[in-house]
Amino acid sequence: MEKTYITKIQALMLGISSITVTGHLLFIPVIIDHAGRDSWISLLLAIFPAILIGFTVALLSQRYPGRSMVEYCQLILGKWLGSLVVIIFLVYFLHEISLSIRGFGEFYTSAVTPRTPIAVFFIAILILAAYAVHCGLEVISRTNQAILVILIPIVIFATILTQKDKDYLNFLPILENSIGPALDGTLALTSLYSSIFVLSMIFPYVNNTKRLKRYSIVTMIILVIMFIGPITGVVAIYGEERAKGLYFPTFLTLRDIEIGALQRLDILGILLWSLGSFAKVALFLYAIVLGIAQLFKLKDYKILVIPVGALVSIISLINGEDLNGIFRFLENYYPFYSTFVGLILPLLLLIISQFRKKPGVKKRRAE
Amino acid sequence: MNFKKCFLLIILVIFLSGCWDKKELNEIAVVMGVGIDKVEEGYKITAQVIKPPPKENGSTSGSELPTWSVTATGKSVLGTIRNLNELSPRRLYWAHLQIIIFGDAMAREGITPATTWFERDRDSRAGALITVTPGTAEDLLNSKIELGDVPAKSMAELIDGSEMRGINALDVQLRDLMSILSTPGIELTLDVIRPKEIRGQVETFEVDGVAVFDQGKLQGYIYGPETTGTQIMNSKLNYTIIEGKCPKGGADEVFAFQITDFQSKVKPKLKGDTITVNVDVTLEGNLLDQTCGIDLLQPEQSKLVEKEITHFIKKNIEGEFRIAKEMNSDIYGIGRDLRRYHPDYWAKISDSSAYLDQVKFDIKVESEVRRSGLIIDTTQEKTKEVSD
Repeated sequence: MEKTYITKIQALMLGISSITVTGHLLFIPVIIDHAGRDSWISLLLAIFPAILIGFTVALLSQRYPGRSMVEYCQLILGKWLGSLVVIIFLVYFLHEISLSIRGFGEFYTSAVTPRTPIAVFFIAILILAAYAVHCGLEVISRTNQAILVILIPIVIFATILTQKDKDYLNFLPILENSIGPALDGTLALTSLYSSIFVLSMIFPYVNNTKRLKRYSIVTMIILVIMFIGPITGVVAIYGEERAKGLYFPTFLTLRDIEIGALQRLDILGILLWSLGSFAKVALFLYAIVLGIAQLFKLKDYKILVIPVGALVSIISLINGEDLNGIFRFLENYYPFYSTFVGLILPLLLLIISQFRKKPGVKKRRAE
Repeated sequence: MNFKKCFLLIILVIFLSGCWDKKELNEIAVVMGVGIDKVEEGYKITAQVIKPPPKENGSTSGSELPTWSVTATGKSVLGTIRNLNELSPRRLYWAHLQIIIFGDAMAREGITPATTWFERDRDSRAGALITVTPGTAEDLLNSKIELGDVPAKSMAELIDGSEMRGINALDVQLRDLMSILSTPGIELTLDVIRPKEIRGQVETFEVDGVAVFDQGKLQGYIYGPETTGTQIMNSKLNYTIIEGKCPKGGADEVFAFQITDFQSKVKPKLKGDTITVNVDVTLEGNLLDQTCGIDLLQPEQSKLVEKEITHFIKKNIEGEFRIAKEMNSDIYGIGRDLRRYHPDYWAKISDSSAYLDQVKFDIKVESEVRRSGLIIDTTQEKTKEVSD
């Protein structure tokens, strides 16, 4: 369908920016609510599932080179069951994108511009993203490359600037309520990392899939590293008790930086989340429209961009009553649901594909 | 193509035409400081806003304050602020809030209900200073001072610049208040600020003393040198001046010592039911002043000076703790430290503050007199040598 090709690194950069942003904006409070001052242990433990996710996605794409998730699901599971699984994945992507748009809008309306209707932000970011998707994958990945160059220094900069207020004694006592809460936190982090499965729609367009597994595992480790600063920082600054129950703790820490004349750096956070949300929304929107087009064997995905974009903005409005509802969902249901769809299902696919031999695959194609 | 360009233009006009939530400078009143008092019907809030400068040709009357303090009452903080907005022709703008002052009655009632709005509001900064005044906050904000135009700003500067000027101030910001109040095993202490009369009329403010809280309610004040205890324990005593008795000198002959490097480490140890708090203090500083005519830099004399400093630190740690214990307040956060190092024991005793009776201090001080300004022997010594 598309002839453009991107490099491995561009594809993985898309994954990094899309996960980092939702994570930093919406997910830090969820992890801290679960694990409290032991969230750094959760992060350490989350390395293993994270690597597993990266490995699964890359291996599936390598096993079916040039085929996207939609195509290989149908190859592995047969036409009808495969289509059902594809629909589950597409709904998952749709939900994921609507959650992150909602989070982005809620962040603006509660922390930056309270009198602006939330739909303005949905529409603004969706118009941008839809335009990027309309222009194609290469545009998305190149834009994202430029954005990530700004994003990563901001994260590092913020970590360094908040160093002054941090008291690492706040991490004591370690594992006060035994390991349970930390494991809850790990599950939450795993569910967050699971959404990297969206890359299965991108990998077919990677020009060279050699050593893709290694690259993707390194990406997951980078993702884990990107979360060290915000997770430990919030607990070290506010202490466990206060860190629980803040809506946007990372934004608060950024906002309260005061080093001489260097203060009021909220704009850094707003920049970080606006740019990153754009990258995430564009990537997921692309994955959804491409997936629908492939599922229904359409010639061009471009006609789908505007209807799906409109659908996303409506779903974002109705998928939670308020910010609190979104957080309750992210805290209580999302970990199980996202881990199941993003990690367990792909793993099952991988295991089933192990038993199906490649020649069989070819036969099926010939049919 | 032309249609596309027109469409793009329309979109750009919609999205680039300025800010939705704009606040014009001539429509807002910038609040610099806020005082919260308790009255019968609820809260009484005094907001100090900056007056817009008068027209340029207008005569600038020097004595007039460039600020306006507006006061209203209400049942909750936000409700009171709504009532304030009824009085103020311009919308109150809170992003530049420097200081929040609690009146004595308000603080005794409990300050936590009054801080909720400040924590939640998106405009207010967590960097605002929190202080207590023994009188009412309204009077404090309305007092006319000599140095500085805006009283709230002068107060904030008085506390902010405390380290540079070598005085003791706790410098508690809204962010610290939030985390201290929510952490079990540590109680809040705040700076005490009050109007100061010089030559019969109020001319400035004074930062002196510590307000001790228990569960967010004011219990009492501590004045005098003991107030340094909290700062010693929090490793924040840098650049403070310590006075001590001159060795071999008369009763009122003293030396003054400025700390240039200060560090303290606190770790509680458990032995049965006694809690021994190990405090390791290392400090360095300059001997800048003395009223006695002995060369205090001689090795044997400087040992005595260091001993005097050790005595000062021990006395103040234990002194402030003793006073705060009578108010049932764990101002040093010993409970918090216990929880960090002995969580099992803390789980047993955390219901009451009775554990404070079992606390003993084991204080080790390592002090070093590094320099003595620009001269070695004082002129005072020289004159003595000549007269002998």
